[in-house]
Amino acid sequence: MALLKVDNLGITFGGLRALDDVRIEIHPNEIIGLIGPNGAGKTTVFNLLTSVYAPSAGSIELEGISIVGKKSFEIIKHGIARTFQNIRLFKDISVIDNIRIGYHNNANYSILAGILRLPSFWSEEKRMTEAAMQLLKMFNMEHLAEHRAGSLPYGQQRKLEICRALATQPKLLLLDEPAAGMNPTETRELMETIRFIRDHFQISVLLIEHDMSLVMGLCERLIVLDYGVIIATGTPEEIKKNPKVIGAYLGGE
Amino acid sequence: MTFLTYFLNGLQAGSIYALIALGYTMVYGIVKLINFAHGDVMMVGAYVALFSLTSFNLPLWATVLVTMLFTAVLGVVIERFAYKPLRKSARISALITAIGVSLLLQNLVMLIFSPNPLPFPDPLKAAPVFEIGGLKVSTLTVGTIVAAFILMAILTLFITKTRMGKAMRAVSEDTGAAILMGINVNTTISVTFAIGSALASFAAILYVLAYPQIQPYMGSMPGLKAFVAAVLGGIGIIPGAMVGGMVLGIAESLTKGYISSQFSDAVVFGILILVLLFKPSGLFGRNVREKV
Amino acid sequence: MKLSKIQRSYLYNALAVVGVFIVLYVLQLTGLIGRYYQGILLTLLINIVLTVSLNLATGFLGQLTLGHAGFVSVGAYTAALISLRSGLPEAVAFPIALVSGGVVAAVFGIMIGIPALRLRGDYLAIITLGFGEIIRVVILNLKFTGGASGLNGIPIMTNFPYAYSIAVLTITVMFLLIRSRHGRAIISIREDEIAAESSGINTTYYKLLAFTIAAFFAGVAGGLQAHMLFVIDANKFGFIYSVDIMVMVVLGGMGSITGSILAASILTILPELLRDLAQYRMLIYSILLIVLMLYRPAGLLGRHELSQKILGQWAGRLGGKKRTPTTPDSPEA
Repeated sequence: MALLKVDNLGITFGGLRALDDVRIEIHPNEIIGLIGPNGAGKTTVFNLLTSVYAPSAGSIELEGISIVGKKSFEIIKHGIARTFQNIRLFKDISVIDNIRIGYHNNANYSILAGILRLPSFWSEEKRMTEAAMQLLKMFNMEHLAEHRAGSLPYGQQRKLEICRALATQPKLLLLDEPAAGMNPTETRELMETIRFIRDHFQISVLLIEHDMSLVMGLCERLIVLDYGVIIATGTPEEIKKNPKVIGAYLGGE
Repeated sequence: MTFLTYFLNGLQAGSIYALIALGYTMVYGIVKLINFAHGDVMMVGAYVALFSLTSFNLPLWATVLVTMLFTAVLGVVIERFAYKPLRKSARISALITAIGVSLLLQNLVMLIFSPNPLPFPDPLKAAPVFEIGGLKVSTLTVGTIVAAFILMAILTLFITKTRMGKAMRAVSEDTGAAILMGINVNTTISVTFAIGSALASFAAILYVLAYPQIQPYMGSMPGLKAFVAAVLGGIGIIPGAMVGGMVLGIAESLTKGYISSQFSDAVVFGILILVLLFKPSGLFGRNVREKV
Repeated sequence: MKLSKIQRSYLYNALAVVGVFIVLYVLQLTGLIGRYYQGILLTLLINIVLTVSLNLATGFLGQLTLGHAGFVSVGAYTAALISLRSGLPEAVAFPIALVSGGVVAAVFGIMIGIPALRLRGDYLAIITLGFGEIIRVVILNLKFTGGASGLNGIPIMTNFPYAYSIAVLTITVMFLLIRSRHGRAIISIREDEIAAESSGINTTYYKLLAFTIAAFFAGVAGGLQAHMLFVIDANKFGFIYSVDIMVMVVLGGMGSITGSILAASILTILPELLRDLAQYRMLIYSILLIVLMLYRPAGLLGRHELSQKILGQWAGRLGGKKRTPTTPDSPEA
């Protein structure tokens, strides 16, 4: 069974049809790239998958369950997590607290239990902290745990955002331009990181990216979007040679 | 016959609300701030008018000019010192500052003049009374409505035909692009505040001619009602403020006439709550989604 | 018995709380703190409850609400009515009245919160202002609340033990809530609501939660006030009162519980010391708000809590003198 099945997805803003008849199928443990020129609607797809917008048409199913109409936070519980194009961290709190917020739904104690400091509070907080530190260790950031998130350099902020998303224990991770602003070395490191994430956590990754070296080197399959419609899908090799794709990026014959 | 009376009274009040509402809406459109202190600028206008008429014995037309000029400058000064430094700050900071300015104006006036109400002279005592459809209508009512419409027409021409007007619209739409087009954003914002304040003080004079008593808190209620009018019409949208003001004035007047005066305040609040809950973008507004 | 670091800090805090209580209580019993200052102390404790509660909604959740006084009013009237009309002996009625005041205020918090919290920023501020005023006007027009003359004859039941315990309870609950996953959820909404939703936080629920808890404690504070003032009148709980509380929150630091305690203390005691300047109070407050926002929007403590670390830093900055910091109210947990 496909992990994610998107069929005939469309959304209209005012009079503009931003997405039309978008079909996506993602299987477990895949790394898929969503590419296309600026303004093609890629982030809009993410916004629809995470219920920031509601679709005008089409269906979205995660492991067979429809998630259209569910609230954003419910979709997180179902197993989709995302990062944002312009990093959205909780800047004024610590790095580890950012990740703990990601673990929010995976810890289990009530408000009253928290206030009364019942045993469930202590055991769950301990579990959360250990898990968060584990995540930070994986990304070589455990020494930054108590630092203010906003004080981190750009690259580590991106990593932190990914950590927070991983903390929600997703089945599908949506990364929106994770390599933005990175130099080639950092980009290569990111590629390793994403592969590691897929292998270690056994999740699928759908990523939006403009950096072709990352996309071509990392993704098993590509989906190409232009003006809100899918113009091609296939392996990186196939896409590289696809005349429609070349036309879309170069805007000519 | 009474319906016509209420309707005309409503138009009169609505004209005043519309003029004040324009200040709220223009400022919100250009800097995305609800100028909490706007109603109090209107109040200051009333005091300046009182001072001009009684201490300097200026004729009414001169009083109006002096008042509008004074409040225009006041608006610009407030913007420069209290709001401009916070343009890049969190919204909550600007809101708190605006509340501070509002309280500052009220308390300064209280200390300089008096916390007690002061009477306002009636320079229109000798004015004729018109007859419309068998109804006696005062010059003030007619004058208020006519004056307000004239001012709104002038404003509309200004916004659509002049360079500064176009600059104001540009900055409201997209400040970044406006800067790239070479528009001096600071000047444009100052002009917006100046015009909004001047209109509010004109409204203050119209208001005070009708209810000839001024006190430091007099800006709160009309200010709040004008704000509701601006929201009703669609905050940031100039025709919206004009229409919203009229609609609110008439609704309030009809409620006063047919139900009760107490209830009319509740109706105004009720309209605010209904609009914010069901169509926050107002009558003329479009829904703008936050870009994620 | 070996205690963990956290248990030790809890113990220190508990001891400090009890210690302060004993000291203040004895000072009052022996008359070293006279009747006049006892009254100020009670007002101070009530203001602490008000400021800390508003800080939950404004500082931690990050939403400026301008109708807090409305909840105080609802709590005051509820508590007063129970004491006056229930027929129970005063000593029994008082705690029931206080809790009821809080509960009814919390109910109002939910009723107002559900529609109001859908709005953001400026609009939320205005609509809460509106609701606060509606509450005031409605109370003034209802017969059973005494109409325009309010309620009088309320038994004077608020005393130092009650007020102190409730203040300590409020502060403790706030700390414990904030330093739990639920508190973090609330803070995440302030930091970035969209990111919070995308991290699985039910923002609607947590906004309402913070708002309602704030309303609850405001209501309890109202009950304390009613049983201290003998007379209550809804006009005293209008927008200006909401602003008074807001100034305390802003001065202390939006997001700092100890900041709220500090600011509430300063702004309760200072006006008493400067009674001659009473007519300038609102003027000073208005300038204070503007100056704070322009030059120090974080207020006194920003989002930090007064802790041994910070006290030590201040002591160091004051000229290198080594001083043992006093144990403050903040647990490390």
